[in-house]
Amino acid sequence: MNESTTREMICILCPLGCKMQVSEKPGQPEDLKVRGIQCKEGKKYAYEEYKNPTRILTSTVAIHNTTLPRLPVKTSKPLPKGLIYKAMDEINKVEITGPIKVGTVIIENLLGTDIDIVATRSLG
Amino acid sequence: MYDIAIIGAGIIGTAIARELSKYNLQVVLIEKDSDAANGTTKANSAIVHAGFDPEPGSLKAKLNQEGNRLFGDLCSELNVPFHRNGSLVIAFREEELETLQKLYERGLENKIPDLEIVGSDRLHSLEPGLNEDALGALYAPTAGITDPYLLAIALAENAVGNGVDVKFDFPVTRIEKKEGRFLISCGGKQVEAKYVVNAAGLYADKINEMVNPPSFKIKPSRGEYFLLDKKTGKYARHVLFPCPTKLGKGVLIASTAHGNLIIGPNAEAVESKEATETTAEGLDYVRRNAEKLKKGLPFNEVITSFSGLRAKTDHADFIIEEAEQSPGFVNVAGIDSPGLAAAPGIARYVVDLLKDICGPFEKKDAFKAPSKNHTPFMSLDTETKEKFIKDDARFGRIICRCENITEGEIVRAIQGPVGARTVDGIKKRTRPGGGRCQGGFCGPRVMQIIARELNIEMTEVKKDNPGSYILTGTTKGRAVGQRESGPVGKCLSRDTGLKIESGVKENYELVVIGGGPAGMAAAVAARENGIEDILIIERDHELGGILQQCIHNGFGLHQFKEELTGPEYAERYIDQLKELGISCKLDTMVLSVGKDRQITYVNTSDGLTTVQAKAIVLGMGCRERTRGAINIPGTRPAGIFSAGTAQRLVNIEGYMVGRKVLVFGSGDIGLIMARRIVLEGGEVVAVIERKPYSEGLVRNYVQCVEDYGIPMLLQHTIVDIKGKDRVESVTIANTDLNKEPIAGTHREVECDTILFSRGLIPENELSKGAGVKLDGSTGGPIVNEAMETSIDGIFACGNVVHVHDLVDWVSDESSRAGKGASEYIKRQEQSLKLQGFTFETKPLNSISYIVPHKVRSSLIDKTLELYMRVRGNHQDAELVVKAGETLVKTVKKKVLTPGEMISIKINKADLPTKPFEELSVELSKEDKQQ
Repeated sequence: MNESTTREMICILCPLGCKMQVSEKPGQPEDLKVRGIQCKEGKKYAYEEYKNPTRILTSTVAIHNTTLPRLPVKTSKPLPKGLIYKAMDEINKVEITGPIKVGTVIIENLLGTDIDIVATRSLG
Repeated sequence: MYDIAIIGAGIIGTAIARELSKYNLQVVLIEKDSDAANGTTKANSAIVHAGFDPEPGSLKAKLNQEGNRLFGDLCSELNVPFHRNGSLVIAFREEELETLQKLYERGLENKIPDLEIVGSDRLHSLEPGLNEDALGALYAPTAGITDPYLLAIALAENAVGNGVDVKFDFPVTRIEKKEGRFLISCGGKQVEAKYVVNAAGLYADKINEMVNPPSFKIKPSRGEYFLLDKKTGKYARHVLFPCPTKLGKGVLIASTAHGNLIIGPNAEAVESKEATETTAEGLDYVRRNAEKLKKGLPFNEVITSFSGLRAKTDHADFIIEEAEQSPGFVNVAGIDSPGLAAAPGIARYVVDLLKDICGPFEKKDAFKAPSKNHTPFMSLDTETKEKFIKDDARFGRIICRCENITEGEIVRAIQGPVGARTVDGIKKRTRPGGGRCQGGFCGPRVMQIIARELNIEMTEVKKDNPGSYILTGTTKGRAVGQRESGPVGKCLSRDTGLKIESGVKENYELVVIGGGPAGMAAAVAARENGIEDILIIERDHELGGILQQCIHNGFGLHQFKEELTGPEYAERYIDQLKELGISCKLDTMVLSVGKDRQITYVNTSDGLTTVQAKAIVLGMGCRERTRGAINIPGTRPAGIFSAGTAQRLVNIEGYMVGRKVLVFGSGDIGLIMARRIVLEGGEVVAVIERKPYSEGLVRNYVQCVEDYGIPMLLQHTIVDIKGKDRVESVTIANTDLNKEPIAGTHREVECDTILFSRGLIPENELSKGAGVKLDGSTGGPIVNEAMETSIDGIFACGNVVHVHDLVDWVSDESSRAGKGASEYIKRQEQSLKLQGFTFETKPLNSISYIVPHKVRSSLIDKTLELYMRVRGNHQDAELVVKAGETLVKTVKKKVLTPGEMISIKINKADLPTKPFEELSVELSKEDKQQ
């Protein structure tokens, strides 16, 4: 592997915000070279963020028959980062009718990920 | 066909219209904008000058004198505020005393009553707090202050009530003379009139030249002003002027009719008739000159700055005459200062002139008095207030919480032929958005009321003229219907399981003001500590406060050991309140808190009510720092939001606030909103930050900005905002180490929206009213270990005390307040005396504050928790806690930033048992201060 695979990252675990350079070790794609950070947790974060970055996605969906016109929702588990925009498309397609309880699944098995979109409040 | 068409619905046009409506005439009032009072009338000093200043024998002299004389009766007839508080022209140098003498003599010639030259002693007793070198003044007791736009609107309404037609959005494009009449066109629309009165203000020359050869030229002169928060008006008992110079009357300081302080104007000739932007230089000039009159003006209380254009001409005097070439066409032009004061006089003069031209007019048998009362609800007496609410419950619902303006007043402002159609129109009539939050809280609600009353979509609601759209669409591309409930509909009727208290009960053990995270946690803790009789008063239609709009995750890791979103976190507490059966009043506004723990609140069902509590917890939270408060120059178009207001509109109401957005300030709300905008299909052109580092959490920088490829421009600021109706662009510049713009680095960025994320301010208006002592560095109450303020039995917690970084800490702190309040109540019942001693906490060097400020040793449980923030960034630092000179504890911190709150837990066992006075915290090692 050449140097062009080195990725600049900022560690989010503490306010230090260490700037890290993460690259794959030549011949050992499973192992990563992490520069710019000392702590163990930071290295673990770097590994995760490099191999499989995920995010909790929060948004709203259109809802009817309730006191408010939008229901806040989130992914039940962290979503692969690359799916965020596709997930938004799915969320935007939804139109539901209230009342609704917090935790209700709004979209099951989002994009075949085994992740659900769930309501984050009750709305009557 | 009309007898008379008046072009221009400013103070002059409306005054003439009303005067003409006393006669049997067909009159039409034509206005290019969407509302009356939208040009010079909207932005001026609002002073009714006494009249000593104009050249004797001039129209200005005659009409100022007459106008001032008529002003009192006119304003009382129309229910418009006018206070004859008098003016002082102040001399600071010997030669200026001569000027005073000349002005005095001129005033006598102009027949101005009660003029007096006062010496230094009398001056300083008339107006305490002036700079000491003030030598004397010309005192004119007949000068006064009024509300010019309310006056113009009231004049227009009274005119319409007496038969005058009004046409808004009618910018005249052509006037033709035809067989003794005038055809006035606006595109395809046409109005015909026998006579024309040109009261078009800044555009009077253009209107004149549609039918006549040029005879005068309007040369706009811009004046910039600061407006300060209500209650600062007391800084000027009188209207305070410096000695006039050739440039004009100079920078004045005055109270407004509503108790704000107005400071300005400068005078700058500008080319454009629309150049109503403010400038850094102009405002700086105003500030420097005002301080020559009076030092120590509270510029930290500035809520906005604005500028207005005066319609100057080359003529020294007003131009009020029939055009030579066009019989029946009367110019009323060049009405600069003292135009407002002269307006009632001008109206009469013009009517007399028209009588000369057209022959005598026939007076109407019955001239109708104004039908609408503009008196603010809050200035009514208690009995009248109660009657108002009984007749119309909407007067019991506060929409604007800075100025306590009710829904009833807003609806009243919309009703009628000259009713408000826009957000600015409402602001001109009843002032919501004119307060310290500048519409941050009430803006969305005012828009909902406008949409409902005019039966239009929220997205059609404008700030002012047709181009000034506020919302750019809905989220999800899906429609949002009318809100059927909440603050602008009928009250929440659905059963939510919450114990909603109906009816008035006079006494409570504990009243909690605010149903956000602070109030909820305090109430829960109080109940758990044995207090049964608790009431939470919440101004919104539901509990949860700002958490309900914080739909992102990151809450609850400390409190619930799991990561929740804002609404989930709120719901956990709401569920606890339900289980514990704690009572709430929703949609209820507390108007005042007394030091003896009385609380006056208002809502639609109980009306105006005062209750007595044994203890009170204040949990009102905070508000956002506005554009006005940080003095960003430029125009004032639609498309400028504080980040939290945008958050509410997008996340709760389902509307988009912009297509191409610039975020100013890298606070967490700004970063989080940047991501929301992108996820909802908008573009964020940049996040700009004056400091060399991002202020928000690292996580938010990475996951909200970096993830979406949004440029983050550190060490940048906004130096100008452009766009007349909607934001069109922003000029940004690099900043130096003092966060000031660097010359030559200016560049323009195109955008239609700006979100301000420039910090939060604890909202302590109720606390101040109760006499609670505040800490200058937090902006919140000074509290002890139980979160009790300087007033016995009044507790405070959450962002009203100091702005927290995590809601989890708010809950912790508020539990202590709730517990403290319950223990206070029990102590009162058992008349227990406290043992032990009290010490103060003291922040040293880089520590900016510590909460609590005071600690009673006997009331420390097992540990004492101190919350604090630091100034600047520090690495590998050590916090040292000392009781007097005795070392209590050292805490090592890898990194400290101003954005993060620090908490230090101290074991009671580690504190000296002997009395000591101060517990200090300092930063001992500052190895790598950035």
